[in-house]
Amino acid sequence: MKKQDADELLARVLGGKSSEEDRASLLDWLAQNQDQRSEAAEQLVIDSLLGVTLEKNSGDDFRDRLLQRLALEQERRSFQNLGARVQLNSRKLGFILGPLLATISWFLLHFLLADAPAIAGKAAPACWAGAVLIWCVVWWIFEPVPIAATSLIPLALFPLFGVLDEVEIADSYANHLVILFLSGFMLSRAMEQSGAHRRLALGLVRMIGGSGGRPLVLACMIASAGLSMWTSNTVTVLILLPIVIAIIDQRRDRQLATPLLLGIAYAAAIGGIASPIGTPPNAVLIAQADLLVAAGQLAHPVGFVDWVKFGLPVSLILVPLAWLWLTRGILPAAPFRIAPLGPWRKAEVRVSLVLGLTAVLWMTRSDPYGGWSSLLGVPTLKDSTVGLLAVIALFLIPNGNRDGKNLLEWEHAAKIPWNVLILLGSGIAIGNAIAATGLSQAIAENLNLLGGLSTLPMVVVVVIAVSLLTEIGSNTATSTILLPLLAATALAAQIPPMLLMVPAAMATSCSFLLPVATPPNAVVFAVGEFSIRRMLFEGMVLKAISAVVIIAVCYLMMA
Amino acid sequence: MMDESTEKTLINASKLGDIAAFDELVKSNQASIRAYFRMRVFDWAAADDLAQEVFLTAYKRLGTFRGEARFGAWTRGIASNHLRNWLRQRRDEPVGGGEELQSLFTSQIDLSYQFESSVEPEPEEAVMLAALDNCLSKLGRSARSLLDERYHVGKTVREIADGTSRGYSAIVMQLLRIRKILATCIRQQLGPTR
Repeated sequence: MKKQDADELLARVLGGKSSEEDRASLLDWLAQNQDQRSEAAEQLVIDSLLGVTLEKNSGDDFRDRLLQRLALEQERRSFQNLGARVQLNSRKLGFILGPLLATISWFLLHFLLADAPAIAGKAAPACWAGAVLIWCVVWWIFEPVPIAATSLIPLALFPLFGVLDEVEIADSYANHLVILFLSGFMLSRAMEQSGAHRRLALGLVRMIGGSGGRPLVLACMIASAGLSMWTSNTVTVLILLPIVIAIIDQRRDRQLATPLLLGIAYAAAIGGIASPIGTPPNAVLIAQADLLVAAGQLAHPVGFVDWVKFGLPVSLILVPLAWLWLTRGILPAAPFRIAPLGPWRKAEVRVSLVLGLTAVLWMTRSDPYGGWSSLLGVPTLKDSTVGLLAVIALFLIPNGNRDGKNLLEWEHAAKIPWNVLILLGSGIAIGNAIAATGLSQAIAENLNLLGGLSTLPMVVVVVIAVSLLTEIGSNTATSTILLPLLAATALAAQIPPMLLMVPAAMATSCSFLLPVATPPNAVVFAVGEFSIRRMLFEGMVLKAISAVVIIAVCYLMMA
Repeated sequence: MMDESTEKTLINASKLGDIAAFDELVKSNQASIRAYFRMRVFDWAAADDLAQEVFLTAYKRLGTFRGEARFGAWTRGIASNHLRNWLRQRRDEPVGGGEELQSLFTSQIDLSYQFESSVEPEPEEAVMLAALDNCLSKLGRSARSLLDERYHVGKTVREIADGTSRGYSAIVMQLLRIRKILATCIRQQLGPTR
């Protein structure tokens, strides 16, 4: 290449609008003509200085954009300060309020329900069960102590007050659903450890979102919903966040930032609805269903496939609707480029195979025609056994690297969120207690919670009420408190209990309004790309859409 | 350059959440921070995004700024951390392309100029920008109008060539010459030590 050609090449590279090809050619030329490097660098320096000095309005535009972001930061900061103050005061308040309201509710229940036939002979344990429930609810909401610590209260108090004995309460905390979640968390840890989660997410984005703009948001949302079916919503968002931030940085397209961030948080919540292990409220419902089966009030327990039959359609409908809503008005963008991911590593292949096989075993355990558990002559086998076998396999299968380690090592497995397992156990224990003492039935029969509404309005009221309550309390706590009451209410109103409980359990996952409603919302809000007002607006409409979809799907499939 | 006491007053006001005061600080430092990134990141839009992040970080961390250095030098330090992180991310993330040419230029720039060892109170880019202002005033009318067309109006060299009777190559060469003259002028203004 002649010097003049090289100068023209340099002219194209300067000013920030060159092609990859130009840069590659210039790089070649400079590699061969080292004496020219200093002159080229000098041109680049002066070009940059001239650009900053002479550009029309560039300094003002830069400052205007920065001012907008600073205002957002200011809002985020004042929200945090306010949040911290409110949290401190509410902790102090909750500390006293928990035992106080528990005492009041004990006397109130004693006064109102002492003669209720449902708790005949068990009045004292029923009142204690109610009091402990109120105590836990208040402390779960106000958090004067960590949620997991509050969750230990039933474990200590129920045997003490004769609500449940040690064996019954141990059965709740080590319920097969708690074990199922334990195995789900460990599977998820192995996936994180191998990097398979990242490959799956990026692969999906590459496959669907390559054309940029709205398809890119859809790809990220599908990746989020798909992952969230198997891992916790928070982990899903934490996995996808670096990818989404890299995309936002590369595209520098601010109109895409909010839909992408809200998209992954909302899709994680929606994806969690699709499978029983997607999110703890689903497990709370399944545990309640087990209780109803034991009491002869429900014909069959809710198995993996039973849940998927309701959950998957809701997710499949909601993800595209949420996408359409979040990306309205986004203009088509230039194609998006993701560099090749390279060949699959052994650990990624092996973990994906174990996870895929586990999913198949979960789905075919009791269906079709009694599933493989009937074929093996163990029809009472639970999904937790499959999960545990998968976890044991992960501990045994080598990861294929030269470090001599296996797909799952205890140091990684031990980092699962044990607090969620304790919370889940306490939820099951409380549900057990208020059902066993007849308290839920007595409340439903005597307090007439839904005032003689017919079925559909009753479902509508329940979904709206739960949708609002879940913004205040944790999703799991909300479902723990409400599902036993809804079961009893449905039985008292002589409608199928699942018709109220399934939509309610799904609605607890729809925390779309506030950053504090659920950890994934807080994670994406912390990026600082959108205001709370924007989130409230986007979330409010999506909440209405999700309520309609949940009611429609559940009512059509179950009524 | 803003005097030290005004800067201190503005920083104190910014610490209390006065965005207008912080904007004054940005106004006097944005050019040098943006120039810093534009020299090291080909894509000027990406460079300006990074500069935005620098001022956002500065605003968030104002509480830790004890005034031992001038604001310009402090933000320059933040900028160099951001650039390092950005380059590392580009390497780790499968999103994006190769930056070989960029790193070749950056090492050459660091070799030719003393940016990385620039001493307080002012970052080298700020000093050069001030010198450039002076040097621009010494340019002839035709050179100045060519620079305006290229940098102020934002025309490409091709567009400029199409609007005149002169060829593309002639304009490229003239721009190269002007930039060379400016570089020499800036060096003379800054003295032999630089």
